[in-house]
Amino acid sequence: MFDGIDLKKVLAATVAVFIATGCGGGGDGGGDSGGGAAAVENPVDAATAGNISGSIAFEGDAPAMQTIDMEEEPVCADKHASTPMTEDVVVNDNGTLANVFVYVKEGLESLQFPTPSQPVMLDQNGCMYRPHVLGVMAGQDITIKNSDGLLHNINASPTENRGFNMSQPVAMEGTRSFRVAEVMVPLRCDVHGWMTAYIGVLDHPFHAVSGGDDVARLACQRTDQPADGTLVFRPALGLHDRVEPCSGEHSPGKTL
Amino acid sequence: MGKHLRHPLGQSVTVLVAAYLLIKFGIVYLPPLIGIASAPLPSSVVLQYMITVIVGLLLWVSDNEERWAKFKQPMHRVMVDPEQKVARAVLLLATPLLVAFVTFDRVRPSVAAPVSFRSIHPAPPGQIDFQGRTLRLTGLENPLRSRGSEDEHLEEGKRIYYQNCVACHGDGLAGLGHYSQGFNPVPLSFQDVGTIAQLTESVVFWRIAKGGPGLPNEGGPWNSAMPAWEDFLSEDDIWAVIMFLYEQAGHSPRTWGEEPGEEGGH
Amino acid sequence: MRILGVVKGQLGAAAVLALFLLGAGAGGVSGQEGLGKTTYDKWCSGCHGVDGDGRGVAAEYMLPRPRDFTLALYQIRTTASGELPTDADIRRIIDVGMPTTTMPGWEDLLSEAERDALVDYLKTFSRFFGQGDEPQAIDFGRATKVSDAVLTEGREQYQVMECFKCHGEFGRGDGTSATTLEDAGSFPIRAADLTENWKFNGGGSVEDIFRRLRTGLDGTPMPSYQDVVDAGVITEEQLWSVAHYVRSLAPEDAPGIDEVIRAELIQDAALPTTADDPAWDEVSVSYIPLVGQIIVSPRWFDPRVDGLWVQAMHDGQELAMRIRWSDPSQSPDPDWAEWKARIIDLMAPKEGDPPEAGPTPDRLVVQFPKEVPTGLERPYFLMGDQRNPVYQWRWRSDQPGAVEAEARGLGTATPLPSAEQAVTASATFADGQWTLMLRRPITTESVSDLDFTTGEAIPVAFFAWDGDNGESGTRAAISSWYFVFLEEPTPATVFIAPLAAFAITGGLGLLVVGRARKREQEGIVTEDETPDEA
Repeated sequence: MFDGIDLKKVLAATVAVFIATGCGGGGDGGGDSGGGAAAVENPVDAATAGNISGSIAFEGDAPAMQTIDMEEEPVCADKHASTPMTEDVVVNDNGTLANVFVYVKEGLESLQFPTPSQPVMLDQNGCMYRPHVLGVMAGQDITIKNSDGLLHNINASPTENRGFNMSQPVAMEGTRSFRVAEVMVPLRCDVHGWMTAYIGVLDHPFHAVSGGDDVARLACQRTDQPADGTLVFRPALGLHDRVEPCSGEHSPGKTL
Repeated sequence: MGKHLRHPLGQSVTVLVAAYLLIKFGIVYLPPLIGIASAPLPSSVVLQYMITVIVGLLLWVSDNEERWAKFKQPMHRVMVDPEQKVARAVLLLATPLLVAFVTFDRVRPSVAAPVSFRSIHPAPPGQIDFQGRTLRLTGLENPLRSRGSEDEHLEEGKRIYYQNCVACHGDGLAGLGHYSQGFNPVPLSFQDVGTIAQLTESVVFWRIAKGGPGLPNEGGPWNSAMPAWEDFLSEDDIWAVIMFLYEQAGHSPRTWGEEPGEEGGH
Repeated sequence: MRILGVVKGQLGAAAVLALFLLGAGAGGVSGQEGLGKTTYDKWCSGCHGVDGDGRGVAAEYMLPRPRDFTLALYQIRTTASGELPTDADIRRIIDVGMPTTTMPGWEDLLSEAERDALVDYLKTFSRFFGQGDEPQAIDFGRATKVSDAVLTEGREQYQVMECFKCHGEFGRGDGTSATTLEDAGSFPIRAADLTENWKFNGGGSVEDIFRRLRTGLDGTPMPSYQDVVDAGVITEEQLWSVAHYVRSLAPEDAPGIDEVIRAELIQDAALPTTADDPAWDEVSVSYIPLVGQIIVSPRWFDPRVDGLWVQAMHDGQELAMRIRWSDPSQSPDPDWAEWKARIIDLMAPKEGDPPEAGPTPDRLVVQFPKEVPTGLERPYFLMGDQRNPVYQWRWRSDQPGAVEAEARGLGTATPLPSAEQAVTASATFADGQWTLMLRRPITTESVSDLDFTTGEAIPVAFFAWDGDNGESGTRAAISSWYFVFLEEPTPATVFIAPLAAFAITGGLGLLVVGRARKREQEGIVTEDETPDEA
């Protein structure tokens, strides 16, 4: 969860946290975005943009992850210094949880943001997706790269968007994008059943994924909306969301 | 060409070829024109038809003295004309060879399966033991037709059919389920007017309850893959699925009023 | 494991979840009544469900499960991966069905209008249809010509594109990744056996195979190779070569069902002693289809072995039979343990005793009556009954040899006394295929077995189990009665009769011609000749 929330600006938005770790994804994403009739073009103004950062604390005993048997793929096995493990729940040494997708869930409906022209990179390296979780904007290109030089297929099974199932038998790249917002789109390599990835598709740029250290940072846009948005915390394994009001009351260090 | 067609021999040959083509390949397309299923003629029937055609042609050419002479004349010439020496030799060799081949084809050992005679609808018994009690089949009606909600019975019958019968009898009820080709005899088609439409519901009940193992010997119980459904389904289940069969196939069961005693007679 | 978080704020987790569910459920049927709906409800809903979600009452008895139309994922399309199918694509599947699944073709049962209406109605189950442009069929171009060079190239590209990862080295669905494949509904799905092209869902021609390579099969693990062509990794022509190669893995024609297996008489050579003796390549092969045992409880709706290729020969002393079948694993294979657990979990629990615990082998049974029937009567095909037992050769992959047994019903086999055991077995497993040879003297001292006779059709039936597919006991693949016919030495009449016919016909011909010429020379011919007759 978020501790140490640093609210430099009042946010009029709902922030959602999605732990996209190994869960089946689920078809309950915010699918009806983009429907705002009078959406206002509102690019992020760096001068007034605020930042929110926090870490996701994991309480309880971290579940032991499964080792992956890569015997059939020595090329991949050789890329791993230690035995590769599944990434369903990755708890960092300091007790924080990695691969949590944090995003602004509500409050931005009236705004429109330009689609970044820069593609997002999803690499397949050592028979693992790198990164395991990533966020993109609807319409933004995702470059899917095969660094292993052996057969991977990228089987995306969204529910709000059309999926695809692309073959990459050699080192190569392909590009895809998703038309509408959907959290999360699961990706799977059927050749290597352990390879899964999750893509959060949003119609705004305010999202982040908690990393190997502990920090998920969001750059948020100041708006003129009322100040009591909601922070949605969407925890483990896609079961449900946690919701937290996101207002000026939060002081740094608060534990949710 | 025209000259040959005016000659009785040419005419006979033409009629013979046309008749063969019609009988062998043409007739199969006729029944579908009036909506009846069709299959190619067996070769024995083709042979029979062709003999009839040949006899008819011979009657026709010999009917008139002049035509008969004209008919014979080319054949006679082949036999005697010194200029036809090659044709004569070829014919004298080819005909016995053909006969020899046909003979060989007939006498060589074949590995056909024994012909199976089997009654598709053997006569039902008067009564059966069903799950520990005696059911009198004669005069037996489907009790669900006079009890409860018809829609509910049909819904239940549909569920039972789809969970148990579809694999063989198919979701089209035409006996074409995905397992149907694995069995011999193949599963019955309920769409066929010769199956459930000819039977009373009590006979269908007997067939479902007792399945292949319950057939009398003339039905070939050792070959039938029909399970004895009394091991899986209750009495009401079977009556419900029977209701569904008739409803879905658009047939009505034979009632006890019409020609009693004949319902097993195929 | 516990992930803790204190819920604060106006909206609780449950409320948000509820909202999400509402959102997901909203994209349903748009209420189109009429011919499409009545036809669908009557003929399709039993499997696909009234709501088109693939959860009809029959769904649990089927694997692959019926299609969930709400996802608008269609395997067989002429459109790119991830795109919607054209109307013609949907119509084609309604017409001809999907051969490896429980989906039949409806061409003969529903009218043209009904099938057209179904296409429109199916589309209403998903909100993806009607958004944006009509899906466009890809122009696939024309097939290249096949040649040995093309097949070699195809084989090479099959390796480069690593098709073997799922489909196996020789296409029998035995690749290392085949054990974990899942469809869009997270149900286990088999990699297609490429040696059975007549069972391909989208058709078995080279053109069909090429289309599947280009478009992929949406909702299954089979990806599209379009990006590979676009990236210049292989050319379109090379992709055609792969299609030709895949086509060449299957026989020229789909096998017909031979009711009779011919056991050829071998007179001047010894019978083969092993399953892979090249002598087997010289004798004819019969195909015997197998289906799930759904006659006695517990039934089995997901048999892995769907057909056997059977050959036989004898030398007057012994009968040898060779049986080959596709099976992706040599059970018990630990790599398939998870697959087995999932299949049992999905397909087994409904009735009867639970499946055999622990590792289960592959099994094969060849069954005969105990004596050659004189009339029509023979034992019940499903392993006989109390009154009329059957005689069997039973083989299993975890034990050497084979066992002769008597059975009085499914699951009741008892081995014959060891002194009477006379059948020998030789089995090899390679590249997803079992090859099993069984051999026994034609007649034996034993009174409990069948003494074979030549020159007549003897009933024979087959049973197969794939242990790694969760099969044991009554959970099996079965056949009905077929026949094996031990050839006799060709009788002399076969040669004498044609010779006699030749001599008689020839003699008669000579006689007739001779007489005619004699009469001609004697000037008896009365008719006038037509001068221009040629």
